[in-house]
Amino acid sequence: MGLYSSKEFSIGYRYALALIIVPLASPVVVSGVQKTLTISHTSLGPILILLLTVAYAWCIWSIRNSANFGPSEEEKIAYQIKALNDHSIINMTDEHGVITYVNDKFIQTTGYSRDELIGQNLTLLLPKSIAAQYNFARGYVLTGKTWSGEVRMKGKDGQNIWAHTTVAPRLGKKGKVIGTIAIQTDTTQSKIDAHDRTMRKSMHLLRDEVYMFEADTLRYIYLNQAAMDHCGWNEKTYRQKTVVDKRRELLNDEAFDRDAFYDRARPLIDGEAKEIEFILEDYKQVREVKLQLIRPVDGPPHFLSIGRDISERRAFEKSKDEFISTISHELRTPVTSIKGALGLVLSGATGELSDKTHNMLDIAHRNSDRLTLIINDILDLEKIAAGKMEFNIESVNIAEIIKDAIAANKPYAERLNVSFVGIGLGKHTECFCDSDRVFQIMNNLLSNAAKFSKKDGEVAVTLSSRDDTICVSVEDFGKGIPKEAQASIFDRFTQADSSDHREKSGTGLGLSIVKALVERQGGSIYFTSEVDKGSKFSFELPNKDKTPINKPTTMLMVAAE
Amino acid sequence: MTKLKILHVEDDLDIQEIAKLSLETIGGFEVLQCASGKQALAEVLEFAPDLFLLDMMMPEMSGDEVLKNLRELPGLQDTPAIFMTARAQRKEIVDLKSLGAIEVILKPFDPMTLPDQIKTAVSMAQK
Repeated sequence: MGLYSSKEFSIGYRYALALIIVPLASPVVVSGVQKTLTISHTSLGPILILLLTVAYAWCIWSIRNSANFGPSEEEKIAYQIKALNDHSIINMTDEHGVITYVNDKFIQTTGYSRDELIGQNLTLLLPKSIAAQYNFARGYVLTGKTWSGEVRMKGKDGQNIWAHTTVAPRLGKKGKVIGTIAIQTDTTQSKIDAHDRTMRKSMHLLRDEVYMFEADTLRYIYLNQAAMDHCGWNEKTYRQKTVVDKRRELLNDEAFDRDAFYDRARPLIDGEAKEIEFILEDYKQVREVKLQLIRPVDGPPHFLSIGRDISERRAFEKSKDEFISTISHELRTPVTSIKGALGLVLSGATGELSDKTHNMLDIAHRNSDRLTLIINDILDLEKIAAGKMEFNIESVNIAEIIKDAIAANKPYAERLNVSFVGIGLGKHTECFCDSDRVFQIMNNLLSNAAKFSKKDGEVAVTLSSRDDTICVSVEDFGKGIPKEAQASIFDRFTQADSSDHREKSGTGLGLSIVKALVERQGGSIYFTSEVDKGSKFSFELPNKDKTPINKPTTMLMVAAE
Repeated sequence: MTKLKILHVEDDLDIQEIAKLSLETIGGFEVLQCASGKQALAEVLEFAPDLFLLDMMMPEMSGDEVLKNLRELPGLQDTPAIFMTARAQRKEIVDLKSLGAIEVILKPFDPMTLPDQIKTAVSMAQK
């Protein structure tokens, strides 16, 4: 039995062999013994030997085959270390936390070079917010125990690195802790994936439609629930579709192709804009779409498009416009009758009036005038607010407009015994503005100034020009505006004090309109005032054409940072 | 000098009455008033006006539609027209003038000066 004595076999092998052979052999022996009692004596020997030999051979063959003789202990350790290095981020520190060793994976993951790390404290890689966790873990390991947990580190570029971490003490002679070894598994991607999943789930709750599609193929990679509902697609079908498919299927826009899309997205591709906004209208709704190009650090670029159904908003805006238009007609029609009838009666066209009747009708007539002004002012304000007031900006001689306004307000001022004094109105002064609106502004400021002047007072109207602005000021020497009223003087329905309302009349809308008119022409307005000394309102307008009045409504570019 | 004949189309009867007083008593014009475009189209040829004075905002047929229909009738291609409107947008005024109106008078109008406004507009148009 030379096989047994071979040095290749370890003690374990022989032990295993014995374990197998004994139970295999025993029944054969037993059955052999039983057979000797019944079968002829001569057949026993050769059968037993044959059986035992086959069993031995099979055992040896199978054992040798399965064990294949294996790697040496040294090899096993080397393989394990290689696998460990491929999988894990490993560092060693001394007892003070100074890095003494990092493996290649550590360098790849953090982005630092070996030279930048060795000799630095490990805290270089740790965000301040986890200082307490780090100190605890370090203290724990320095007592000779092993610590495990989830750790967040900061890479060289500031990126977050999440890692399952096990830190073990390194022991010197006499069992003293001389440092630590940390073995970490990078879990950043699964963190991001989990975060992505959570975010995508959250996006399903949005009422806005969210679409993400690849920049090169224009194929969808993500649609939230609202987007799937809008398109009539599901998780499986949308992945087969592109932006072009969507436009063709939903909007029957056969003319839309990849080039049309890239033309639209050009400012994003060229980096001129961060976001493009446009309006898409189909048979059932109006949608406002915002488009962005996302360029992730670690993935292919994709577009993010967010669509919002603004049909309701549009309908509301439309009904508001109609409402304003209705007011403008429905309110003015009865006012036309009231004012017209009173005017005719007061003029004596219908017969003589007693003084008392005349006075009463005069009150009614004046108030119908005021009502007209209020209606006009409200409509003006609405138009300005809605961006519907038209401005016809052109180069004009503003001195002429001011002189016209002074002439128009002279009769009113004379009734109050107030006179206007013009300064700087003699020379031609070029200004970029809407002459009608400037007239309206001047009208308002002049009648205000006259209204709040003292009897026999003067109102000074000054025109001056600086580099690229024209400045017009209207100054009265009347009662002035109390400090507490100054802050809200440009607000709607504000007058310095309520007693003025009856005494001086006015809508309280004038100055807020004036302010809006000045600002829409690219100018600004301000005032100074002192009680019992007077008020000075000044406004500035550009003398160069630089006023973008109307924004394009179909496409709004949001400027890049 | 013969009286200027004005066809006034206005759906609001109160305003009609005020305008009538203004145009006839103060202005000394001869006036035919109609409450709708339909009525105006039916009566205009018999009246043979020198001027149309048309309210813009009217139910059924608006002032500009009335003018278009009037122009279709024989002999009315060149009759001057004036619109009255509560809408004060410059663009609308320009649009109305492009329809052939010689003037656009804003509501509320002043009945004391309305005849003068009309006379001025007519004499300007004749120049």
